[in-house]
Amino acid sequence: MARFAMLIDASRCTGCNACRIACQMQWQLPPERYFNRLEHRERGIYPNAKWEIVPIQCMHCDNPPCRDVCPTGATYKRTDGIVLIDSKKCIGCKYCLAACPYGVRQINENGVPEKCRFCAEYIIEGIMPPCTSTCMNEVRVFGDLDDPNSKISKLMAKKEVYQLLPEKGTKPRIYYVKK
Amino acid sequence: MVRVSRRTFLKASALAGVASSLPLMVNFNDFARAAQEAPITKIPTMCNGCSSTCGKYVYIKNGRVWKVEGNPINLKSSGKLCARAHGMAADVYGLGRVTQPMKRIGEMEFEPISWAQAFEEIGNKLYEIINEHGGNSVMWLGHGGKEHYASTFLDEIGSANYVTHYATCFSSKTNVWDRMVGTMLNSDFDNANYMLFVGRNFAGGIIPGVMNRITKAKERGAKVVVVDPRYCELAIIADEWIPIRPGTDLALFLGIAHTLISEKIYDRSFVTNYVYGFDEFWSANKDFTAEKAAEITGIPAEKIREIAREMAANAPKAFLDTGYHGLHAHYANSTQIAMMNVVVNALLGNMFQVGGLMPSAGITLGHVETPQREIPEKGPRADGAGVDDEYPTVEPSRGIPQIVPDLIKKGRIKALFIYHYNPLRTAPDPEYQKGLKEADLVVSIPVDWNETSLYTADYILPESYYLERTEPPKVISGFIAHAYPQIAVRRQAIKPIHNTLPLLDILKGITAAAGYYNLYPFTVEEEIKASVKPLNIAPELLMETGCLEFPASVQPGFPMKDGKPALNTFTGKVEFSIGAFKLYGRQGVATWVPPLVMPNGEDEFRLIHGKQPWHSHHFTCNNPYLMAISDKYNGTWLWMNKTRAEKLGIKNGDLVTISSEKATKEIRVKITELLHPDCVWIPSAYGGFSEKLKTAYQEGINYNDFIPARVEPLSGSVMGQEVIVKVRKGGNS
Amino acid sequence: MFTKKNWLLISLLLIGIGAIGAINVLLHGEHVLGINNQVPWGILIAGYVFFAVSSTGVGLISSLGHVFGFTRFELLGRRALLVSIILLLCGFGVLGLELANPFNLIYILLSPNFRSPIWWMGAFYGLYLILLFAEFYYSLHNDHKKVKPIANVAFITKLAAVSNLGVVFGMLHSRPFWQGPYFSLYMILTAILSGSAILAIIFYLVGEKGGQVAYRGEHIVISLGKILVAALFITAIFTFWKLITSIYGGVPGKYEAAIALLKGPLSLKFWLFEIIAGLIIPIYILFKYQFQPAKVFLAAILAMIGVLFMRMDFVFAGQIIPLRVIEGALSVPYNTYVPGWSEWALILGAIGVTIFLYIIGEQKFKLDVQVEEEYHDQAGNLVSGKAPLNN
Ligand SMILES: Nc1nc2c(c(=O)[nH]1)N[C@H]1C(S)=C(S)[C@@H](COP(=O)(O)OP(=O)(O)OC[C@H]3O[C@@H](n4cnc5c(=O)[nH]c(N)nc54)[C@H](O)[C@@H]3O)O[C@H]1N2
Ligand SMILES: Nc1nc2c(c(=O)[nH]1)N[C@H]1C(S)=C(S)[C@@H](COP(=O)(O)OP(=O)(O)OC[C@H]3O[C@@H](n4cnc5c(=O)[nH]c(N)nc54)[C@H](O)[C@@H]3O)O[C@H]1N2
Ligand code: SF4
Ligand code: SF4
Ligand code: SF4
Ligand code: SF4
Ligand code: SF4
Ligand SMILES: [Mo]
Repeated sequence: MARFAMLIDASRCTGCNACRIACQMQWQLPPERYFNRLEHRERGIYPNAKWEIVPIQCMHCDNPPCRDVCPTGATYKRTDGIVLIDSKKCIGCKYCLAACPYGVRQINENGVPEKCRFCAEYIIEGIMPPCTSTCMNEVRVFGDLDDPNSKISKLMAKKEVYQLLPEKGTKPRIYYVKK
Repeated sequence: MVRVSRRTFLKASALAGVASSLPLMVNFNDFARAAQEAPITKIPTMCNGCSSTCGKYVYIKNGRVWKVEGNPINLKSSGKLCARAHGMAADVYGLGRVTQPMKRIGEMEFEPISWAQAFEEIGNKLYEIINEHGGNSVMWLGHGGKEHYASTFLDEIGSANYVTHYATCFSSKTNVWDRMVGTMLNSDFDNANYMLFVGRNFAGGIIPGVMNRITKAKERGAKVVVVDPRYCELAIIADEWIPIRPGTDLALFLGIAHTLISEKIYDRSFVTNYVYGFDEFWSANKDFTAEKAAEITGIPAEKIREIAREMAANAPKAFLDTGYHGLHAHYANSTQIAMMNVVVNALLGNMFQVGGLMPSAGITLGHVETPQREIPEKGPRADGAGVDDEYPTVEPSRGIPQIVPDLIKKGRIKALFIYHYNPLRTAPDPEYQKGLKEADLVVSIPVDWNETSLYTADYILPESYYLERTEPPKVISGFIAHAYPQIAVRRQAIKPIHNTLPLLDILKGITAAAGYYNLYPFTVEEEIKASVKPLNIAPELLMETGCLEFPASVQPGFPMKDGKPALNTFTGKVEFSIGAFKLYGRQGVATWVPPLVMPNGEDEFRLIHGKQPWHSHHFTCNNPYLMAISDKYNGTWLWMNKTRAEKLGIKNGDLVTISSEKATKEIRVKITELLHPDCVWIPSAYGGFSEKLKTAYQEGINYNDFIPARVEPLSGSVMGQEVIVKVRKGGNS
Repeated sequence: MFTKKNWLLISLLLIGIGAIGAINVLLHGEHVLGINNQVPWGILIAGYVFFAVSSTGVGLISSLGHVFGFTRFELLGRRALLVSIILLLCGFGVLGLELANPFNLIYILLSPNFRSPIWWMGAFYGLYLILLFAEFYYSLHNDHKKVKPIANVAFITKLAAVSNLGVVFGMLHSRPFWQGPYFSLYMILTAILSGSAILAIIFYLVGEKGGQVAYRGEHIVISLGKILVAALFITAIFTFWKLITSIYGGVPGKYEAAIALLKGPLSLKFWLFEIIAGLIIPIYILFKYQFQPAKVFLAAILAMIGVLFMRMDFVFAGQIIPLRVIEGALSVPYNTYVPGWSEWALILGAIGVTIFLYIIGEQKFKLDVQVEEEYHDQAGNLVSGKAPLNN
């Protein structure tokens, strides 16, 4: 069984937004809906200042509050770890939007939430998700943690990593490289 | 005869398998269910999102463009694409496109006409003009490098007036390098240990494949230093950001050169063997110490020396990146800045050295044999580029686009063709540029309803979108050192969806109607065949892969011939002193030249600009996807240093009024610690004013609004940042 | 002024407005609502909470009679059941229009997620509605043997439903302002507040029309007024401590939300409507006029306006602070949400429907109940039994 995950090295991100639009094209989203976003942060005082950018998308949490609160099981987690939404079962209560601490869910024109789908079908074919493959700085590495030979497994073994908002107990599947 | 290298051949053939129509199956929820039945084809082509023309694949599903992906072989893309590449692919369905030929019938009114009528009317008018005023009264004004057909026509009628956009982009660099080095060298990112970027933001003024190499170099431990008044995107991954007082980079370079020379840490053997004019340079700049540079730039002298020493220590695997737009069309001293770029690199002895500056490998393509035609003598250039008592040192091959309205007023130009170019938004002073319409005949060949077409054209002839046309192959080069030559081709991915034509067909139509029969006696297919013929490869291979790489043709080492330096300069050496400049009474070597203007008062700032990673020049602003990014991240806002803002009582998100002699505009402000206090910075993309481009219309402001149309006398650039603006809190009303 | 005709006119007007809003929502879907990804729950959710909690509140007050044997409150009997039903139906109606795909509610049964507080909310309120209908039916048929056990079960269901409604919000770790058990208690408390206020309004009007509203000669509205004032007081104390604890220690998310209420974008709604109009003035009126029914009526109306805004403040305050995923990231100080006109229209419409259905109910059903009490008969003797109507 695959255990999909993503490793993001935010210190390499220069905010070009190619990941956002590549994903929008992949899933044919309208311009204002997107599955990944950038958080910008400024630190320090001129001239000793810094600009940091952190890409964020659905964390495919192992303990996803969005799934827990969903009254109909429309939001579910697959055995390979991918959290998906079955629009057929969704009543549009938006409880999951209120519950996700990362704010990654977006209401679509039908009132149903959407979010990053991890493009797993593509990696099975050996193709990286567009957000990952288009990135000139190779900020993201996507892969299977159960495969010790995958790039992500090897990198995870080498690098110190952290997760976002660990205190929320969500156990994200997206790891970030510590600087 | 060139053979495809083994390594390349493997790459190419592996791809050819994928590239033909591979049905990919995706099975995802709602979206993918439909996709399952739809076979997907993947067609290689070239991006047209900006001048970098990266290689990309276009996925077609149900006959529609679905998505794009970077071509992994093409060194401009290296498998990566920037945001614009995706956005501009989607824009083939955009609402801003001109859908068929248009004829002006009123102030802002056009009527759709047929191609036949357009050719007929334009041809007749052109015939009259050439008869009455001669062929030299015809000008082709376009984005340079985007086509190669116009010169055939200009040659035929004896017009010297081929004018490009370069003066708005980086003409001081092209001018100087050609004279000092005889060619353009590029940074060898793959092998350098120290990289200095001054006014060059590869993460904002993007070439994805190149940025990828910089990130990789960083990963292997190379040091990256960025000098920019603004903490630009490249600074994010840099080891160091060094803010500089805008307009003073010349002083920084002089200070670095002084340190290298005075501390004797420059490459003396390189200078002795391969440099001409060193003494002249040194005697003119002996006193320009790091201290003096510090005073002007605001960078501590010790820092300047540290940069020089570190570069020297890493030389020849160290370079000062040769730059692009930033600095090279910005200042009265831009030509000297470009000269000093050559000087600093030469002092490091890094030219033609691994890890330093290397050439971009080229290869010669064939062309269709056409019957010899009689070519009339050309008149003088209307813009005065290369003309003795006008702008003698400006490259005639590029010209001076920003003063064309004057040339029309003076009666030098009667018929104007504007191709793939929008000077009303990308050249200084739009009100002045509107004067283009005064020509007797103005024909614009765009894809969209750009400002220039809407305000000045008598006829708008829409070219087919780049995804809808096939073009002859190009040799990939520029901005990156690479030993393996590459060629790439643009291939039609979908049939034209509107009544548009590729440029070749447009020109065939116009010229024939004007009485020049069979000027282009070939088809694109024939051109492609002819191009690759000397390379001994099947055109099909190129068409299937989109890009081919050939065996290395560049070796490190200074070019020598008969034991002598053999650059394409007078002396065969790198020339620190430019003879042509002296000839016309200017200094041959670079020395300190102050910028034209400096900010003074509490409310005065230099207005500087830069590329935003997700917009190209101006024309991507009508793309809803790319503008949605601007919306989300307050992309149109003006940047202002926090301390300066506090003095003016301006808070983040406030509306301010910004004015120069040319314009007064309103814009929201981003207050930041990431900008030099002397300037305000705007992303260079915005300020659309074509009513037909709804998404771009009146979003943000444009630096060209604030500057007059001037000419830097040596290289012809627009000096786009020689402008002081006053900023005050609150809107106009 | 409060003639039946006028009430009918008012209610029809409100229903008309609501109908236009409903049509707009049904035709154009989500995007006519002001909600967005940052503030996914808008005034329709607040409206739902308003109606559902009011329904439970009315039920809880009437339980004083049915369940706890305070005879006086048996007077409320059928009317309370009817209002409770109507309010809950209106709550469901508003919620249904807020849901994108109410038809998919079937999956609540087909694929229930027992971990979801909203699932439990549906279960409890669904059960509550069924019990209400049963109780109302048997009560109309004077089948007290059946009413009594139903009322007992209903009481527990009510408590479960209304406290679970607090849990729906309290379970959200992502929204610090809501998180924790506080709002479960708060829901019960404010249910009593709105329950007593609504019953006071109704019974004042019933009394004006000559229905039976007195127990042992004392107007029931006086008793309701006393409950109301107690509820108002405790609510004030609850609100006070909630804000103090949110501000004290500056817990991220909680602190800013409290500030948003006190002096941020919610402050006008909070101070003017929730605190001054909804708490202070009613308390003042109730004490000043010693629970005179007419004044209780006035205070109750103000309190209900206060409660409506209280629900909105509560729903927004939980979402107004942008999520803090990256410490120190640039963001707007507050998320924005501007309700669409259709959302306001739906709230007004639901209030209209409540009034309208109630008027119809008054006409259709025999709602007066006679309560065993001691009273003075025509001869002036003190007797025990059911007082004749219209005295
Ligand atoms: N405001 C502003 N001005 C600038 C710059 C900037 O960033 N901002 N950058 C400067 C620099 S570096 C440069 S290189 C120049 C670039 O200057 P321009 O070339 O004028 O800039 P663009 O906005 O890229 O494109 C101009 C027009 O090309 C047309 N076009 C696009 N695709 C096609 C096509 O396939 N066929 C044809 N026929 N036309 C097409 C569009 O109609 C568009 O309006 O601008 C310079 N001036
Ligand atoms: N996203 C995007 N990428 C592009 C293009 C595009 O339009 N959009 N166009 C392509 C083209 S045609 C070009 S020419 C290149 C341009 O690529 P660049 O030359 O890198 O682009 P710019 O952003 O114009 O300028 C670079 C930097 O110069 C800084 N600068 C401004 N004034 C000064 C100064 O006085 N001193 C110093 N040291 N720095 C200064 C700016 O802050 C900016 O960060 O980009 C290419 N790639
Ligand atoms: S594509 Fe890469 S560099 Fe660009 S914004 Fe996304 S993560 Fe950052
Ligand atoms: S990030 Fe949010 S939406 Fe994604 S799994 Fe976690 S809680 Fe759910
Ligand atoms: S909106 Fe849909 S997916 Fe989200 S919690 Fe409600 S039913 Fe589940
Ligand atoms: S993994 Fe796929 S769905 Fe998720 S952000 Fe990347 S491209 Fe979009
Ligand atoms: S840099 Fe981006 S927009 Fe320009 S050609 Fe390359 S992919 Fe296209
Ligand atoms: Mo450029």
